[in-house]
Amino acid sequence: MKIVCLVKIIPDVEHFTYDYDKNILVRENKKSVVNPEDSCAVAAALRMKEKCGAEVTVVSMGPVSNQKYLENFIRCGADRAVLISDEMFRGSDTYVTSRILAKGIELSGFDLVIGGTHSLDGDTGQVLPQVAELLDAEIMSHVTEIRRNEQADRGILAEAEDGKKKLTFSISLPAVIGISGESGYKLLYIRYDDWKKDMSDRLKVLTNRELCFGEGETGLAGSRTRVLRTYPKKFSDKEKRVVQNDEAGIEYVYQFLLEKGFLNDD
Amino acid sequence: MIRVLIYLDENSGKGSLELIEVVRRMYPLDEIELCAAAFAKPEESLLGYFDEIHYFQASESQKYQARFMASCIEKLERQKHFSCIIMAAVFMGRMTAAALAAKLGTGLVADVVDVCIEGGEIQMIRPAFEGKLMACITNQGLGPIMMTVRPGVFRYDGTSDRSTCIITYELADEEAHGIREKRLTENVRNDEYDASAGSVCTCRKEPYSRELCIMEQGAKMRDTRGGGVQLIACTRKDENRDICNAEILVSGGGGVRNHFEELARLAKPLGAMVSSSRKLVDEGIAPRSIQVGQSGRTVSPKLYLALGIYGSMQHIEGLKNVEHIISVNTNRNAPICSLSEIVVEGDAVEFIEKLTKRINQNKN
Repeated sequence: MKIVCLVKIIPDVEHFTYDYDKNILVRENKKSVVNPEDSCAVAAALRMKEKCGAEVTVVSMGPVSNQKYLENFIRCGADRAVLISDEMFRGSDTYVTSRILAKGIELSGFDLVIGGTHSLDGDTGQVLPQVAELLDAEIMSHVTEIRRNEQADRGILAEAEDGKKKLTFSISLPAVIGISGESGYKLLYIRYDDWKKDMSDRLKVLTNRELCFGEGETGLAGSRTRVLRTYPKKFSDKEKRVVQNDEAGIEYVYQFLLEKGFLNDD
Repeated sequence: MIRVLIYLDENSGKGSLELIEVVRRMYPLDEIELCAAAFAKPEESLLGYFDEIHYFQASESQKYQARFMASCIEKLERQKHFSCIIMAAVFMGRMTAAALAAKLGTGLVADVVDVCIEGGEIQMIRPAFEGKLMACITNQGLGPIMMTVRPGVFRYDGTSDRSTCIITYELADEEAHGIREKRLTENVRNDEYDASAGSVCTCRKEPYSRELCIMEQGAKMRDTRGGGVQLIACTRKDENRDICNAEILVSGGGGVRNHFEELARLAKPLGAMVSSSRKLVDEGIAPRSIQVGQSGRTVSPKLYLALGIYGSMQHIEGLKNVEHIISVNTNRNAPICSLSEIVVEGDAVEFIEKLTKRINQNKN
């Protein structure tokens, strides 16, 4: 089975830089992290590889400087990694991103695509279903457990969570699966000996020369949505009362609760 | 004629009506045709709010086939040409909306929390970067404007005086993944107009009609896939009640990390539920199901007690319709405090102890 893991390297949400004039993220030379749910997705793929054999390819889109993160996935057990990187792709919205990723995945070949259901930065949850649509594959997100379906020739079993419902699905391949952060899949630590190993021969960079999008099809120009402006969220100050954590303060809170009917006197 | 389509999520029930408020902020409601798409039998209580409800009789498995549902709505869109398609940002709504937008080649904005019109252009507002940034986004595509809307943010208090026509689609041949087409019309227009209102239908009781259609989709069409997701089992998770429905929430953050179980002590006499900030979820102290915030749940209790919560943007994003906030924090300048009606400056664990004692004292 060929598994492709979609991984997004995101700006550390605590310290990100945003170009307010151009309305794009400045991703170069800034502290970045692997989107946590995407790590779970790679862990899920490696688990499947261990249990029933699979070839795992990690695919990511972003600047060339992201190569180091992808090499680490190979050190963790992935077979190879593909970084899709081209100046033309910068500023793409989810629709264009999905088209680019789908093309990259098609080039790699796949039976199963696994990614994180959400990313911490954009958090639209749209890319995987759109990739599924473009690849003509099945889609299920919020998956907490995934395993091969022994009963079916080409299929998997997936547990998903929808709020309080726990759902079990039989899904035929090809399929795109969004892993939930609740899944408990965790990447193992990289073995000390592997840290220094050169993995660059197993990492490939794909540019638009391979993907062949026309001018205007990608980036801001090809996007179907446009960010007009962004602004830090502000909240207006409410009339407020500051009290101390002493008897008078507690009494004030208590009387407030009583007055608003939050306490039943009986 | 401006037509707008709202997706009725099976699990949201009347909650889907809040999407009408989004429509109201974009278009004059009395001049547009308001349609809905449903995959489960529409509840009676939804009648009167829409001109048409398109009901696709989906099987239990089909309700989890996002691409299949998207292709049903796509077919509808090709007939009706909606100006706007709105779905709730819930489990199946998100997936279906994304698949549909890809089919239509139009833009999709996720998790919308506000809409406005500027220069005749519809602008959608959504939080990004855990709510640190708000982004104002427009649609560039040629297709309908599409968005998913964060549940619990909008509220619709308008009338329900439309004459609703329910159009039912029988989805034949599930095995073949096709939708058979033949338009049988049954029970056409059984309207009972309020005569005094003239041609404008104002009565909402029973003036709805039903049509039965059987749709067909060529089995060779590209989007016949989507039938490969089959539901095998559905169980309820053993879990506490939903924090979204709580009247009072006692919520803990970093300041109570070593005493999270204490929160239950205060919650009990208040009849409240316990919730948490993301910090404690990430640290494994609290389960994600009780996490408040952009990446957790949007809650709308009457009272929110924020104990040792700093109030990061992404957390505050989840506090949309809270009536009263009381925060307890050693730092009176923590962002949560600027939202609070009462700020108690001090240690939250101590506060729990003292207030619980005060409440119980009065009970005895």
